[in-house]
Amino acid sequence: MSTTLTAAKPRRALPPLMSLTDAAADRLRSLYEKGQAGMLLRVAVGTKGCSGLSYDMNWVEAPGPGDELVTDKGVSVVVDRKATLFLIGTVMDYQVQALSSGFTFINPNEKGRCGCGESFHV
Amino acid sequence: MRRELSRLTAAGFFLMIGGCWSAAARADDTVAPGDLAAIQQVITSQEDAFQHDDSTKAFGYATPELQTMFGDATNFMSLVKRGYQPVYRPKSFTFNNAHPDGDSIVQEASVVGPDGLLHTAIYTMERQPDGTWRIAACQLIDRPSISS
Repeated sequence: MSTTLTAAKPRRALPPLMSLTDAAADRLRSLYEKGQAGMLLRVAVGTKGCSGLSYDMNWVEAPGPGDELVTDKGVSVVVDRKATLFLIGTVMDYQVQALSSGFTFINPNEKGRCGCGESFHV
Repeated sequence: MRRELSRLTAAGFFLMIGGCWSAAARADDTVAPGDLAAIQQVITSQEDAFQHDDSTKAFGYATPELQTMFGDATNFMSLVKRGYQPVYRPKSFTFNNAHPDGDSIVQEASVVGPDGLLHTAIYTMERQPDGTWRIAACQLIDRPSISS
């Protein structure tokens, strides 16, 4: 098959891999400017917990090979390439509660969570 | 005479080192033809399974790690249908560049989805203990690409 370089057809963007709520973007922006200056939040999906899968977050200096960089509301998050299929359409939020605060994920691919909320399955 | 020989020996030595370096550099960013054929066969076979809605067969081309994460072929197919329509029902599929990434191989492909839009699919392929290759990840990137 011969391939030729042509102008790309008019395209509609794919659904976003991940987006951020205002609360998540504000919290991340604050962390990037202060406690985690020079770092990026990296999101992966791992296998643990009673329901099978869990969201793993850690700080990295730069995206690793193959990682995807998602930017929303002017803030960037690194996503592990192996997590993309599990995260498509996910909204990352930041919730402040009486006893704990943290990033949470509203993932349309989730079919259920374990009782403690630590893990999910698709 | 001795000095001339010494110069020639040194020149030969540096040429040899340079040659080895060049070969090593090539080895770093090229994929062996046998491996390239093998990984493209796996991806093509999975595409064929998608076209026939054979979830079990398509699931079988994922790495054991991915299979564990999905749980079963039905879940896998469900997510592919929901989020990867251009890969699930491509109008055209053309392999582009491939390059090694550590022990893995990354294979890019231009994909025209069912809506006629162009995307890039990036497959991460991992060699299994039995020598076969399986798909460890597939990213779908929305960006200008090559149209055939």
